[in-house]
Amino acid sequence: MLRKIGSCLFASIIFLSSASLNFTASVNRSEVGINEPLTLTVMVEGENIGNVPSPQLPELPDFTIGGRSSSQSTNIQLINGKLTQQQTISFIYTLYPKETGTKTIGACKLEFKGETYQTQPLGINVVKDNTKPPPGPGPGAAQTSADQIKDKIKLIATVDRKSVYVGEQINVEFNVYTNVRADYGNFEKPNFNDFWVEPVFDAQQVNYETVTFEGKQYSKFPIKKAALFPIQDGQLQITSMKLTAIVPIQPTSFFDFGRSENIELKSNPIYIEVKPLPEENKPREFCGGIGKFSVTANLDEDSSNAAEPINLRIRISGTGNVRTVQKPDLPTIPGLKILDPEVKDQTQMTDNKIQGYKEFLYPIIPQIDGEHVIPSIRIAYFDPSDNKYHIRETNLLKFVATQTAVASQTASSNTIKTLGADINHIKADQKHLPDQRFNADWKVSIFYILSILIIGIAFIYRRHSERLLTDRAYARKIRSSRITRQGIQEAEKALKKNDMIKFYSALTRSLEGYVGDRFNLDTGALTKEQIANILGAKGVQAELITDLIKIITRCDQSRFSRGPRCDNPREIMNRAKQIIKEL
Amino acid sequence: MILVFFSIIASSNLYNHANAEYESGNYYQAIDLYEKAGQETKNANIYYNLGNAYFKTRQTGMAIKNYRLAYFLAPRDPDVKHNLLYARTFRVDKINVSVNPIAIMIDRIFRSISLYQAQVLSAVIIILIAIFIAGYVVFRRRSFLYITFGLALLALFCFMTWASWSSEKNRQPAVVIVPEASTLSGPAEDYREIVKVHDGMEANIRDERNGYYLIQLPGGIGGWIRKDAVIRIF
Repeated sequence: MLRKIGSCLFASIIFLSSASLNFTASVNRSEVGINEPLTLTVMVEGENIGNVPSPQLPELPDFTIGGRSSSQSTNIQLINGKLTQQQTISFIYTLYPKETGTKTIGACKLEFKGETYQTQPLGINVVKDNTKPPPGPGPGAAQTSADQIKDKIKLIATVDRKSVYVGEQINVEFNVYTNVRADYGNFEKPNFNDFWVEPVFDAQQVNYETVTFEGKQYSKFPIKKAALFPIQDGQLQITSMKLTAIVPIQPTSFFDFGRSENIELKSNPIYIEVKPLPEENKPREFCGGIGKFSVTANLDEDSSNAAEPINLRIRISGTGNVRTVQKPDLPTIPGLKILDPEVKDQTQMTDNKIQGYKEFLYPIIPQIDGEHVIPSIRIAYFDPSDNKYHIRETNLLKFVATQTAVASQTASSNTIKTLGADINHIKADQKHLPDQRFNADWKVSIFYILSILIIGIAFIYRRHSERLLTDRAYARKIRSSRITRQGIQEAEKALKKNDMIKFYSALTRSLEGYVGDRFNLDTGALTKEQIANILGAKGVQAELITDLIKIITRCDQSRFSRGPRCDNPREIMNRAKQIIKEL
Repeated sequence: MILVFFSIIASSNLYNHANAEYESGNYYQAIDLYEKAGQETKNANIYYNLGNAYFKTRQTGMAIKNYRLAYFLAPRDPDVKHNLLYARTFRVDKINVSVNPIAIMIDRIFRSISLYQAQVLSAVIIILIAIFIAGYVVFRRRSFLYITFGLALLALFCFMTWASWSSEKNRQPAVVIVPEASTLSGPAEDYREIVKVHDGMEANIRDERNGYYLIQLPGGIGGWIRKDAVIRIF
């Protein structure tokens, strides 16, 4: 037995040409019973071997490979000021021998960075049955082999039911049953992915309890307890929990200093049949609750001033999946703005059932004055014990709002949220871009000059028309040219008709009239001499005066004496026109 | 005349081409094209889009310069105002000058039309005033006087707007267009440093000597800065 234990750890190490890499293979024992696992560890040691490939196993006709895993460790050392990073990668294979006899595990090969490494072959003695009869219980009983210990320590998962509805509670327990003293480590949690988990118990220390399990006495202690609520229907799996038990092996002789055996404990996976909720008669108000629930509602105040928010508290309490209950649908109430609720929940485990409450606190802002009524709020849940949906409802609630208008401008909760800012986008394409100037050019100043001219003209015109009314001399002077022109035209007409008398009289009248108007004189009442004197006094040229008098005299002579028409009347006419112009 | 018309067509082509480059993210090409279009034609749209292109290439100073030119031509355009204010928030230098609310109000009133519009409008109003005064002189109708009075108020508004824009131009505003520059106490390199200014800072030019501008920052402080660090807005 001593020999066997001593040779249990048999290893062969080869040092290959490259010093940077060690490639070894070892088995955990050289003698193995049939149907017993054998662990083959292939180790690669060296620097910078992070991407080393898996080694090639030799042909193993005598074994079945049960499982493989790998582990890696890094050791950083500072030796003589030089940093070395030693890495160890272990590839672990579990082998089961197929038949008895002496078998060989051939050389493992590894190709890395262009070099090939090989391990030495290992010899294994496969015996018929390596298990010894289990030693009797009691102190001093030698615990000789891991396999013997394995029977004495178990990790068992149990559930209280295996067929539930979606959302119905399942209690799961992981217990260790043991008959040996051991320490525990490497706890690996089971996978509860398809469940809502309410942890109930997590072992902090080991509390034993003696039970009978499968006809044997065990010390039992719980590792983990949880309440699970399936999220979906179908067949769901609670995967295994893993735990390593470190069992000390008692020394059997003087030279055996004792050691410990690591035993991997693995719980049984559990399959749960999850039924979907019946769709038949499913109420609209169904809130997702499975179990037994009740609902209450209350307002924290019964009046609101200036649109202050009032809190509506809806509490769903009961037994079941309290935490996954959804918020009840509130109806839209005219005149009230109901904001998103604040959610609070609390649960506890009582009699293996999760109990508790979930509370929804809705802030309500009244928008119009008056009494507001919050109708009764209904929730529905499914009770798996009678396979029926049940409806619960709250009482009517009332409150009074005053002066909502005061705050309505400021208490708007619907303001637009700005998520970010940027420049406004560019202007669109244009067919014609008009040239816009910074400054108007000089042409605009024409308008100013023009405006002064307009006003000036207006004043001149005003002055003129005023003088026409008030200043007789001015008025006569303005009118004279028009009257004279008429007289001349009349005279010309008469000349064409050869009506000499009419011609001379018109000419005289217009001449005399013109002179009168021009100098504001009453010409009819004046003699030719007087006219000549006055005109002379007004500074008219003497020559012009003589001509004027001459023409008037000539006209008078022609009019009153029937003498011969010695002179050309047209010449007289032109002369008269000239005088008028010059005057 | 034909030449002018041709240049307008050409600049709108350049502008539309630049818009296409802008839309596809080629902001530097867009800047070149807008600059060319801007040499041909003075138009608020060109300056605005050019400002956007400069902003997209993180040239805050140049963007502010062009937004201000666009604002000068189209003071009522909300996009121009928004982008000018937005670009100013990207400056390194934060100016804490409390702005007089009356000044803001006056600014808002007298920036409702551009300088060019104010000049043309005032000329038209003056002509109308002259016509109504003439009408009063000739016909002696009192209502003409009242209309004249109303028009005179409008003219006053135009003249004040004119004056307000002119004063803005005469202050010779400029923008810093380099990431960082120092203003010195004198127009040479060995003078003492007074204040550091950064891209996008706006200031008024007070004097010019030896390749340096004497600039005054909002709030009163200032100093001499190298000419190539700033660009005149007008």
